[in-house]
Amino acid sequence: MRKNRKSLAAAAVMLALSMVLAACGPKQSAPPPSNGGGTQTQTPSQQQPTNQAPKSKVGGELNLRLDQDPDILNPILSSSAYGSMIYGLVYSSLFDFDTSWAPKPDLAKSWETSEDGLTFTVYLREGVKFHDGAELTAEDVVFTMKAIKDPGYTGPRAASLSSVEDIIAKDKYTVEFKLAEPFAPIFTNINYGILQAKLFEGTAIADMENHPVSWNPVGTGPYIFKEYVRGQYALLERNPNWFRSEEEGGAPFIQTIRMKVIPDDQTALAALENGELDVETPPPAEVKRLLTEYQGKLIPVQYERNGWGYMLLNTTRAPLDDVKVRQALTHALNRQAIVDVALDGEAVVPPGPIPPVSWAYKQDLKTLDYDPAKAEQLLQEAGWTKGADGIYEKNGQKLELQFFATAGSSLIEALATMARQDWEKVGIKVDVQLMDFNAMNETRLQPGEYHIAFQAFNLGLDPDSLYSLFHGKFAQPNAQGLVTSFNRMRYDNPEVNALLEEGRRESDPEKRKEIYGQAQQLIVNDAPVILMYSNLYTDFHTPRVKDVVNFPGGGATLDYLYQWYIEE
Amino acid sequence: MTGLTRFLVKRVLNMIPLLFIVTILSFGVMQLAPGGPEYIILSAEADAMSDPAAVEALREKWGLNDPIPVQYFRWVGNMLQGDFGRSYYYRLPVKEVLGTALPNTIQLNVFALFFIYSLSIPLGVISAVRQYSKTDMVVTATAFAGQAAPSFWVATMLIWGVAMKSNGLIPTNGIATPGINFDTYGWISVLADRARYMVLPLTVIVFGGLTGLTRYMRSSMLEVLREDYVRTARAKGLAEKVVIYKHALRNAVLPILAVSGGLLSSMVGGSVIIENVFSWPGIGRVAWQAVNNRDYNVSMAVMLLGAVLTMIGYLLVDIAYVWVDPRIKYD
Repeated sequence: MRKNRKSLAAAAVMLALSMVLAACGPKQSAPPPSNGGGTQTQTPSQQQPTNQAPKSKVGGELNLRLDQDPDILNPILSSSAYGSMIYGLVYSSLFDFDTSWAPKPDLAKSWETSEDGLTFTVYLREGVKFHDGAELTAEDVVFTMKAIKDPGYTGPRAASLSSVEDIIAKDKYTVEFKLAEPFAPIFTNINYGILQAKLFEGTAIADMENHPVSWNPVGTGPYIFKEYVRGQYALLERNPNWFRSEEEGGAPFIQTIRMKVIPDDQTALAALENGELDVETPPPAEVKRLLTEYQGKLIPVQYERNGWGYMLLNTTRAPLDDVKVRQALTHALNRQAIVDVALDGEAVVPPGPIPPVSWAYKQDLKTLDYDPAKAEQLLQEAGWTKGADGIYEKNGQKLELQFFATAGSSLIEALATMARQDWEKVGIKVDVQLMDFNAMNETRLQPGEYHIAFQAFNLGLDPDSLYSLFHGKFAQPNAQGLVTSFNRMRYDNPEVNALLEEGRRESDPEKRKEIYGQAQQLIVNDAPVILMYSNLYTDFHTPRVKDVVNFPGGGATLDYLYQWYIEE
Repeated sequence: MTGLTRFLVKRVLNMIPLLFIVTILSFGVMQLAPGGPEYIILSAEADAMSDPAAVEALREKWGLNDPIPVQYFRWVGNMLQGDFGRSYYYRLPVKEVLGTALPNTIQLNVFALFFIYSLSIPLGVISAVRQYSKTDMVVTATAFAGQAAPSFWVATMLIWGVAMKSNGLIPTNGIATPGINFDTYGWISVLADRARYMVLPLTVIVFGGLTGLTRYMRSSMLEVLREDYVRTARAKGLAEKVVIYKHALRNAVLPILAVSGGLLSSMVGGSVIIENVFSWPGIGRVAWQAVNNRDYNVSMAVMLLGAVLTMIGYLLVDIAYVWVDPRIKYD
């Protein structure tokens, strides 16, 4: 149960995941809903002012788990999901996202894109106050964005603002983003917690990480930072003057939020069952037991992961440079059966690279389903013949492939074993090697010394997530022959590249849907990856916590925490 | 006392080359680990990972692109001036990261050591004196169980079997109830609160640590009991108690002392599992996370700390020998 809307991209991560892969990859960030949408002006609220909020809802203490100590508590510098759990509630960003993942107002009241698509103007809400009482203005937004673009900046977010050339405060409440080229996914790319410029006055951006405010955050969000004791807990308190209180009916409601650092999953599970934690995502193997044993005592929140465990196929290495061989590998796998066993049914086979929950999902996608006969037919078309030992061969070379995966996960072991058997049935011999994740990346994936590899990837809310994974410009090895990007399949299809570029430029959602639809189909046909599973996650919360929202791809995300309340 | 001073100086001087080797090993081990801190930081953003310039910029800023020997000597040089560098992950000085964790580990292990010694020595003696008796069987069986049972398993069992059944008396995790401090509560409430949190981790450490020492004590006592001077003492008609606790025990303790030197550091290292399972905010947990995050400076500092503790441990043992064994002189 870690996630946060403010660092959307922080969710589209992949490294950490692969270490914790299936069991507990950091989950998708999830943005809360709000009223209205698109370019619009906020309707004046008809709800009661904060101080008249229903008394019964305000109060209580919520206990949450931090899996690890957070790194720095600065929304533009932090690179951990644990940091974002804290600063995500303390800071607000420009936008929120609704349940179909479309942008909604937060600090931004409305926005518009110029005719040529090169100027993106954001109109801010007026009268928004930081927790220290200062008013948030366009200068703060400009400061935050410019800090990320500063040469001395030491955080991970610079690349997401690379399409932004300049940020200008037009007046006190208007900010203009000057773009190098039209860029539709801008909402997720500039959606970071807005810092207060004045507090960092006189500090070089390179020194921002040493500034006390980076550890004692002062934001405009629904919760006020109180305390963080390293190794033990963080404490947040309700912001009674939150700028969205009126429209949310007096939210936030919960008085204090205590986050305890509990690194061990089993311990956290015990704490949940013992009532010491109010929300927790248990290890997948425990879900079935909790559902029956704690029926009524713990409330499940089930959702599909916005991301997948997948096999990378090295598209530049023979024989996988032949698309038919890649398709044959895909057809040969009974993915549903594998997933049912390896994940105990707690997962679905993703139809394509965009999940069905997204607005950009292509409904009539044609997938490469389990069909061993088709697999053999494709191999024969590609010039392979079956040898005496039942293994296909071509020009005296046997169809023997190397498969690399991370060691130490029973899920991956089961998955690899079953996949190997499926492939062997159609006549493809696969040698499975399990190794350390980082070692695998450095010695196998980056240099392209592999045929098949297994990893996991989490997507963002915008279909542009496909860009960094499938665009051919990331497939080119550097001077040392390494591919350090996520496109370690070295997949480069000019048609897909063009579509992914067009999808970024086009601002009309209908047209984008069409564009990404084509890209999804091409990627499925080219089979640079075999998408194995999207986990079905289950968060549990105690019944005393009410109005917990189940966000598609995010579950009981903290992004909606302002709607929760406690009733003992 | 000049003997002791000379001895100490000699020993400390001997440590220098050893420490030098340890720094090379600590540094080398981190270099060997695939992946670097820049990837951990940047992996928060898919875009950043696709941007080799971002990776380079961080490597450059942190000096990771410099030749390995340059990096090594810079690290050692800074350390000689008391600067252990910064944590890449936390963006804090290493001293600050370790400084909050170390006292917690020490607190737990001081108690653990106390209980381990005050239990294992009598248990070992009883076992030896009543060799093959029922008591000996029980002690031996318990000792083997403690040795065989993995501590994470024992810890988890205790959480589920004790903490969760205790109605909140024994907490499942943590080190203290937030808010209970000396200012607003009396020291009795504070100590009682800390004790509640310490019971389970302490039990696991003591159970695990007890076994080895009890077995050592037993066999060393058995050996001593067969010695001529024990027979002589008995022949003189001394009471069995005097024979055992005055004549035999002092000699039997010597080998125990010899193995104790490594205990100081092994407890820091051995805390990784305990600290993780019980959410004890100690140095083992910091170390574990630092290795996962490729937080070089933190990892290296912890390794170095372990080495220094080992050396100090053995130095203390050598000093302690003189008190126990009058035959040994410092020169």
